[in-house]
Amino acid sequence: MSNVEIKSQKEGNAVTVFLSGAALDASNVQRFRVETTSLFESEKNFVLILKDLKFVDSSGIGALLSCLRKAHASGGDVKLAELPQNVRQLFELVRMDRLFEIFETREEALRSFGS
Amino acid sequence: MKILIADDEHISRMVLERTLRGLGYEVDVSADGKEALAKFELHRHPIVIADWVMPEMDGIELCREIRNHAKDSYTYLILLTTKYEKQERSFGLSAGADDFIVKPFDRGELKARLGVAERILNMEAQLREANIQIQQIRRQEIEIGASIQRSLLMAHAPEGINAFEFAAMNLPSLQIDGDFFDFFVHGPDVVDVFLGDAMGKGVPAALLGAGTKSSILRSISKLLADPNRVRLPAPKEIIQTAHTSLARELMNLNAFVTLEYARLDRAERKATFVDCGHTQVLHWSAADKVTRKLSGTNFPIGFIPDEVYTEFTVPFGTGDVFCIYSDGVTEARSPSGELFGTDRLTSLVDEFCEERASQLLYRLREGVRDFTESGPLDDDFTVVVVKVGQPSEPWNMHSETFPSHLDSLAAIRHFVGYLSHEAGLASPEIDMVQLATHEAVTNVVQHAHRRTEDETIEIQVERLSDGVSIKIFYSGPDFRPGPVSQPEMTAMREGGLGLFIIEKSVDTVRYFATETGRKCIQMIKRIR
Repeated sequence: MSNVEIKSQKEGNAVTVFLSGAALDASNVQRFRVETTSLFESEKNFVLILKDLKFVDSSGIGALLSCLRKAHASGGDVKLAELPQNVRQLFELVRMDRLFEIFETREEALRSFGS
Repeated sequence: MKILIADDEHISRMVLERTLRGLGYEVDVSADGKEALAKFELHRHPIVIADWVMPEMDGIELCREIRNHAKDSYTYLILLTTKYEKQERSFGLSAGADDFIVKPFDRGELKARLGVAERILNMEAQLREANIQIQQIRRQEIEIGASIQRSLLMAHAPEGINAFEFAAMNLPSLQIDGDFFDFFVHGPDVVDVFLGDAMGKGVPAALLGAGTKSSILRSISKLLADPNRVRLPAPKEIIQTAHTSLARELMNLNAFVTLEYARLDRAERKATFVDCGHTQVLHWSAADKVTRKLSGTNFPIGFIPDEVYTEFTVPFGTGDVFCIYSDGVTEARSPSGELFGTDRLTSLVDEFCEERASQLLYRLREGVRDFTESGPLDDDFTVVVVKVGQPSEPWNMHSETFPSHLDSLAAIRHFVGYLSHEAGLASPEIDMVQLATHEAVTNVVQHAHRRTEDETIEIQVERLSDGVSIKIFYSGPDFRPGPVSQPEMTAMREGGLGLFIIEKSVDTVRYFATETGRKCIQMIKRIR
């Protein structure tokens, strides 16, 4: 089992979060939830960069949804950028594109927050 | 023997000349340092006797000049002096003088001192001769090493096998390293490749490499010759056998060998590696378009006496590339001293993986050459590139059993990904099959096998004329979903998403029980 590596940095009025790893799935999602809780409760606006995440499954989507929920609760939002082809396909398949705003580049996503 | 005299005092010069001739020496005379140096440069006298104090160039300066000029043979320098102070003498010694004679000189003492000079000159000549011989031996050694390398350490890559395309290259460094490689063809679909690097340089390393290689080949033959054997000896068995005959002797020599042993099985689409402290193998996967670095955990051969070798297996498919190399490749240096490194090598494999094996190998060599700006190699540059071709017989069905655990998910995705690729599915379709299989297996692990341990899941991939069929067999309680609908995401419920993904990703899903009572989830994905 490999874990998702999480790196974040504040950029303007949003936090950019870089996720990388072989998968965000049932095998490591618990740990991911634990590791991201405080981050998503302490800030409002997030841009998740997914380009180095090779695979996401339904559990991974669930975890990303709970991040979104926390951001919404504090009046903020989570936007996604730089999705690999297979991850983007999954998001469209389950209509997650209606819940998350998805951008081609990190810069576009940050601009949408006015950063 | 010829002696050069440099003395500005006429009388003293004549007395010295006459005495020396009387002692049987040939003598050249000069009246000052400059004249002496000119004569010396012409005749290279083995002994020079110079007066300390002279016009133009004194004895000290003459000593220095001679020491600076004549490096190819030794000249014995004697200073004539009236000065007796120790201080002055050390000044003469540091200028290069070998001895001092106090004027007026005594004939007997002069004779004795010249005897010493001759002995030292003789020894010097013998040393020089010995040195030349050593250098000759070194050159011969390098030639022997190079010829061991050409004939014993390297091999020709097998040709005419459809299942694999091989390309191999060795560029020896100046000193000869102990790199070696060879191939063992077990059949049209199974080939073993090994590549090693014996510690050290020169003939000892070359012999060590040759010995290790022959021990490995002997181990393969010995294990294959066993009449009770029904299947090929496992790579770890081969290395363990070689280790048994090698380790003790290597340890006695304080030597070790790093080695990568690979078995490539085209029919099973599996590469099995025994990594003995060697550089990482690069594996470009055509199915998921990524280069992985593979490494194991064994020590180099000769490190510890009771090593138990382990192997690891990776799946592969048509178009995949394996690159096995020695550290001479990744440790090649740029003129500024930077190492080439595994990441640069990986980028080259990524960039040129679509080319033929020989072409890719050429690109790797070019890449390293550009990086070092054609500088000399410190280590041997040894690379074997394997490109996977078509199996000798087309397959219809493959099956593999995995532990029922979430940690198996990555391997299962691989397994169905590779076979879907080989069955002719393209990239988005392969992703869908992997995703659906992943979700189905996750359900089995988390629901059907929730309360039980040590369960297994068998995955069967069948090639259809227009797609693939994936069957997931498991034991345990049935869980058939009811009608699957789009989960209401706006309400942010997370359940039911997996089943929905399965339905949407493949063309058909079927849940049934087999005659033996096992449960099965079958999914079919057709090529668009």
